[in-house]
Amino acid sequence: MTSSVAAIAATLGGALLALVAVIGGVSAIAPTANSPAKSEQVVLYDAP
Amino acid sequence: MFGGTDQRGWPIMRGRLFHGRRDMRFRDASEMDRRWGGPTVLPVLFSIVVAVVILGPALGRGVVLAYDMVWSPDARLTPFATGIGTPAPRAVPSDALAWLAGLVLTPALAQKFMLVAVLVVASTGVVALLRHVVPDAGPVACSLAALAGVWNPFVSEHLVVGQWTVLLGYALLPWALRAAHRSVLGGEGRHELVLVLGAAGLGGVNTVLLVAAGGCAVLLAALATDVRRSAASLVLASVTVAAVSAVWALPALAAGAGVSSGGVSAFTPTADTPLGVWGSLVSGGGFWNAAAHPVQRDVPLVALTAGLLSVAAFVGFGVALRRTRHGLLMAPVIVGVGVVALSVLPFTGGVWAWLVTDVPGGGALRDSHKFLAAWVVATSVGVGVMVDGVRRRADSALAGVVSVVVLGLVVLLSSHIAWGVGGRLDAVQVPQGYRTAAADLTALPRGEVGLLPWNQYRRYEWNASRISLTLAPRIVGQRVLFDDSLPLRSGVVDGEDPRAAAVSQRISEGIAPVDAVRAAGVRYVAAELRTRLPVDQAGVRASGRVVVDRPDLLVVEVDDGAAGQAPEASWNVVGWTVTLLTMSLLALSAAVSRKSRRLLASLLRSPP
Repeated sequence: MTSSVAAIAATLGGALLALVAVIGGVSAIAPTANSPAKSEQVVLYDAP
Repeated sequence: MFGGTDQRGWPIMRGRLFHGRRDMRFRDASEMDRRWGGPTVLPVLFSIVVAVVILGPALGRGVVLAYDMVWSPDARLTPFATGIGTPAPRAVPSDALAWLAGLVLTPALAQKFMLVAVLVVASTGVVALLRHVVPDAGPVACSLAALAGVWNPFVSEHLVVGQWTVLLGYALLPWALRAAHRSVLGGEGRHELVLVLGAAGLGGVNTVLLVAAGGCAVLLAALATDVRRSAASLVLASVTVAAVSAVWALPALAAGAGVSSGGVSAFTPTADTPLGVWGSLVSGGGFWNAAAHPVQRDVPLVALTAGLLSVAAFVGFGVALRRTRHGLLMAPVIVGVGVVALSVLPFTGGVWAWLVTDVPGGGALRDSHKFLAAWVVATSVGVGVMVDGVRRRADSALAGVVSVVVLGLVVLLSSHIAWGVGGRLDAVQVPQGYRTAAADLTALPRGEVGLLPWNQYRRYEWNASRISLTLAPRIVGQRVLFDDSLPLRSGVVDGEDPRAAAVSQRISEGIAPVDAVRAAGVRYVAAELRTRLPVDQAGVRASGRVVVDRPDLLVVEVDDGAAGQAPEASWNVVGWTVTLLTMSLLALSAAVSRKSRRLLASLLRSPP
């Protein structure tokens, strides 16, 4: 295996690991879609 | 072996540029590209994969309704989509494009195709610009630049609020910059630039504005060195922009649509990190609507690292431009950042307010964050330049490590964007009852529809209570009178429709919404239900004859429509005619150009 192939393999492997980590971790850190307040009478465009 | 040096001082080897030890191993960049599937195959495939990872659940069954992105599940060319009766037709011609694509592909598929295409065009555009600046940039550098082009806060924040036409402008921007620069250099760029501007015309005001500002900035800067060539390109570009914009610009100017001064400050960028507004803008964040801000950018280390990476990438971009004498490409970044600065800096607030509220058409500038696009494109290209520079100078193992580190940083610093921006973009099925009711209302005798609840934003229960614009004007084939004001936590930003404003005024005086809408002279009153907003259903039913009664939509005929007047549409007709003729000519020129190139290529390949 040449060093360039090793570099590409390392890059792709890193990409795969990063994506797995991201997809697995996103559900843990991402907030749910902004949910409505019970008293909401008007939908505020920038409601948190 | 060596054939002298090129104009940039780089040695030429066997007719190709020689840039470093990687080229020694592969003899030249084209050989390396061939080994890894050609100069474009890997970055394009990578771009498609990244787009799918970003969109995730948005590519499922149904349509995505998120803030400004409301997509009808039924292909129907409504009056709203044509801009008739709308003082500021922002959804023209993009909604008509959605309708046309929906006829061909089905609306749900058309939306997915559009979303994927926007991201892939953005990624590949960054790669194209990188290769314009660094012609033999390797596939790894190109792929990382492609990733940085879409995996960033600018894209995620605009995706969350559904501003796909802004993202279309962002996607076309690098192509426009490259074409404008090539036109200055004397290549085929002029024709390319016109075609890119034509494509931008499909997105409407925001798309055209972004692409035209970038392309014209390059041409204006080039006036200093080559007046004749730059001026010719500038005139051609200006005529194209005017022609493709006629469809929305003529009706808006004729209606004298302006924006209220009260909303100017509401649309200025705001900090989405602890680093303040400028610290947030540096890494592509800082969109004005805090609801779009990713939570993870609240972490100081994340914000600081993202900012430093962007600055380093921008320095790399600048160094590459200086080395290759492509400094003209810095002009759009200066213009873009300058516009953002004008809206943010406290001492330019007066000038900015005047520009937005008093200059005809200035309202299109109001959401200034979009002009950060040129900066984000530059930093994305800079990521590729950095990686490419390391891979030239360092040994392969170190270069591989650096590539992985850059990849990890880009991915992790904006990891929130994965899988539909953390689930905030999700395809949903619009209830069949709503679609049938909309079709029934469309089939009724022509008449204007007053829409309740009197607020253009909804939290449809079937859309997981996400905030979105009302679907009605895009699915009902009648003119719809709705509240076009923008309710924010800081107050209400006035809309442009004087009739809607009159209804709002009556409601504020204590008149029941259904009566206030009736007083506007509409023929029908439609009440959308299951939106988590209160509606006086009994009052609506009592106001006239019930003509559509479904769990999601209640429609009452309150008048025979005799009092209603058809809106003035002559400027819409003129605008559509000019724009459609221009688009047709551009499509024809693109087809002829491609055909002639193929013919020429086949002639060159054929034996004597």
